[in-house]
Amino acid sequence: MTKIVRSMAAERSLRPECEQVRLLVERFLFLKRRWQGLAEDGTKFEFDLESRLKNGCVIHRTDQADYVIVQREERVFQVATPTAEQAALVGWKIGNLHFPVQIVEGFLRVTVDPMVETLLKRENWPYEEISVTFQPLRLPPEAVVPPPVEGS
Amino acid sequence: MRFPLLWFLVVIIALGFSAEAWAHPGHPHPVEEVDEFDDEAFMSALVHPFTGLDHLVVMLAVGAASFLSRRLLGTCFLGAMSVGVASGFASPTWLLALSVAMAGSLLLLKDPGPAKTWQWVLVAVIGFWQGGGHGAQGSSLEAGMGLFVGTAAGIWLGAAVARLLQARSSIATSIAGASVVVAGLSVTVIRLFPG
Repeated sequence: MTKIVRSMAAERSLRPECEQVRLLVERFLFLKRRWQGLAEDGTKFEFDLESRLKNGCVIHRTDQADYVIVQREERVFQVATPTAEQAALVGWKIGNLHFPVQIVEGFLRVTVDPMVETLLKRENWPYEEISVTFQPLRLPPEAVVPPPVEGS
Repeated sequence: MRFPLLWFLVVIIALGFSAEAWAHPGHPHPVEEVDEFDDEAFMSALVHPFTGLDHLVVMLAVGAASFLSRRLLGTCFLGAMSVGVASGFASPTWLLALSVAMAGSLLLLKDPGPAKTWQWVLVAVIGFWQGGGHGAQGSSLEAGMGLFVGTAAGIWLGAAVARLLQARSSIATSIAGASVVVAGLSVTVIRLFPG
């Protein structure tokens, strides 16, 4: 039987892993409101979402298990950015190609693409290709911090 | 009259060669990831056709052609654009530039009468390619609606401008069309052979 999901039930499951049923999804599905998915035990879900889901959140609960959304890993280039200046430079040049990036301590990640690879090789920046749960930066409206008031 | 028209021609052609003036500049872009939870989806899609000459000039030209032919070419364009958006066809940037030239050609008729079959077909093809150019922006209902309303407004604006120009000079729209064709074809060639 199909379950309809309109919002997440909890941000994280507190149950042990053996009592969690995963629903593996591609990253782009977190941006969509209406879609369908199949959990690992074959339970079918239809999503008509009022709010955003998060990787690892619980979408449905039964007495036996929590159904948890899990983002699939994807191939990315991980570029070493040892200094803030280097990170800004790499971020600016990749952003100039309109690719979203993820910032992690000492590294910057971007999806695998020939354009990006050409840039990385041309600039001679050290990088490696890895599989990770890619979570690029997004700027939600609430993240925009107003400038400090002068004199305060 | 001659000088304002000449200046108009110069400005259109000069802008046509400026990559910054195009909503889809020549360098490749990744597929845009549309966030359907973004409240701004409607507004950003609404203004997108006005953010670059590749969409703006086409909307104005189709609107002007609708006015000149006294037929609903604009409606045909909107329908074809919607199909293009929904189809998932990603128009390359040179095709968008070519569609600008094709839109300009709609205004070149010496004696614009009721739209002929080739004009309907041309408008439908241009609309489909432009819709493909809008790409992922139409993947949510809000964004699709914004794109539709924005484009309809642009077409209406084109018809209004054509009406004004025609009242002053019968060849004004033809001159504008010719300059659009020149700019569109030039940019098409540049994008096909960037070297």
